[in-house]
Amino acid sequence: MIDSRDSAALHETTLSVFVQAIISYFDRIAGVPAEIGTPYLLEGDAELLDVTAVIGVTGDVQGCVFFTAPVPLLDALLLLIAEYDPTEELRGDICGEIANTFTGNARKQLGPGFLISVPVVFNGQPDRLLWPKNTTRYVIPIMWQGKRSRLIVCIGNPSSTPGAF
Amino acid sequence: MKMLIVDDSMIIRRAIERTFSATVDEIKTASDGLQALEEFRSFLPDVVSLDITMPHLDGIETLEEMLKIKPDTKIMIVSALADDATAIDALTKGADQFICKPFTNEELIAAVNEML
Repeated sequence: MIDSRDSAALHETTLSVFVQAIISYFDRIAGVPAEIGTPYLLEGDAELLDVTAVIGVTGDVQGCVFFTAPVPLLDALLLLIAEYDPTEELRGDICGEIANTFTGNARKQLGPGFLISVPVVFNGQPDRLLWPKNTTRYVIPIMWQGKRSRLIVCIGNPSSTPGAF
Repeated sequence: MKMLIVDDSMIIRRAIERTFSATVDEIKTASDGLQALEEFRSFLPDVVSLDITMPHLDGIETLEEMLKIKPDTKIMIVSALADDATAIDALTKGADQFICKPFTNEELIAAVNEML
């Protein structure tokens, strides 16, 4: 059970699992692995890219996961699945599906107690982001085919997250 | 053969539909569990490709309802949920195949061929 671990170990384990999920995803769909930058602690607001998908996380861990990507990356990925005429709807859909795949695949190591929601997708930078309370935010930089994206993992132990959001 | 594709992601529905469009007689799609059940009752497909994490009604509940209506339906779960417990749960409740996203066309075709 994840909630029996201390906070640092929880974050280290979770980040490592997500890094593996990202590497596997790009390798599998494109045959070209992504390069992962050093994850860093996010203080303040996140700089989001063109399209962002958010997955809510509950259960053993509480928080959310953001995948944020530029249009050229999403268009390149859409081409790989034979979507030759990218639209805003398709870009939002693939962004949500990537976020869903990263978080869903993370359950291979984190287990079925890592409960995830369906994705919520939005464009651009909102005026204000409300982060779940008592969580720590990490950014995992991703580079694939010269295109940058980010996974923002915002997690906390549910016992220290009363009234999250 | 008739196939119903259920996934809240349009790109996934379209990708699966493209994979089988040349070999399956008739394909219908649904974007959540409730819509899938409505479609299922009238379409009565032979094969269902079914996501788990969906709005309104998840794939496991949808699977159970479908098998009550037509127990001989072949159901292939296609989900990002990669933990063993989820796969075992789905297979125990009547799914015939469990494919983890991201998938390849070859995996989907092999899974469907194995079910039939």
